Amino acid sequence: MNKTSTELDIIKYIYNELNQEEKAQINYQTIVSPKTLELMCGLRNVKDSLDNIMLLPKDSIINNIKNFSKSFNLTKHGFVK
Amino acid sequence: MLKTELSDSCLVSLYVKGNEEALSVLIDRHKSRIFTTIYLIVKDKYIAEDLLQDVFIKTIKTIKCGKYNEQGKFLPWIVRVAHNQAIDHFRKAKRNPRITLQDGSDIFNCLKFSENFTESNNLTKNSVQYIKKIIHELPEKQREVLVMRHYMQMSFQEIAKSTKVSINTALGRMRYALIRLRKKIKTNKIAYE
Repeated sequence: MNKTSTELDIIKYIYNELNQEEKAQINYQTIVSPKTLELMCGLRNVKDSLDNIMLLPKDSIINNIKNFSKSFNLTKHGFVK
Repeated sequence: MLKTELSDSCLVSLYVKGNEEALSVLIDRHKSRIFTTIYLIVKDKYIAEDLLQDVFIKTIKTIKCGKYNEQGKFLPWIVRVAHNQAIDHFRKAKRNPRITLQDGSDIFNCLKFSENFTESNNLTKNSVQYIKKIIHELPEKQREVLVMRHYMQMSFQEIAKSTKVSINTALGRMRYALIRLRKKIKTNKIAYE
């Protein structure tokens, strides 16, 4: 397994896109290769960091949307005659 | 009060029948993911909020007019609508807006953090802001794949199809993006230490 294909597989691994056999192969690699283990941990940390930047819009924006839905009327808005 | 454990599909069905609270639950459940996806593409909080409204208005009209396809899943569908809106805006604007406030402060400081960001998280608020900044600095193609995979939860196969590249190219872009972020996070950590 070359370096690039291992890195691509690790990315698929952390995003849960490998089958059981491929996962086992990567697990084995992390045991025999400290560099693979380090890369796996590093990329997992990045993934965790990305999870922490979920943003929220202003409440007024959400209220506008909810109010639009309540006032939206198919007949009134010309969708039904 | 609607139970929040109801699936998206159930909530959409209730909303079709006129239950406005069902839409409320759907919005509250997914607003953060959709807003983050848009924001990371357009890089402007105010434009992202406008586009978020457009996305939900389109969604409301689609569902109320009976045009929503029940076979698909709600989140992938709406996130794709959001992505298309953001890309359309990006193409129309043909620019890469960077907003600085009148007092010279960074627009990132105005963003409200979600409940995900709590004291129990390992990251400090400064770290979160730094990560947002370095995501914005990624080359466009890499940022696109990162947003599609991480925030839109599309598979690499779907990303490859959507961006008309091979799966290895999509994976390669993600690899460069994550490794670049990792290096910058590492360097930043060392700098702080």
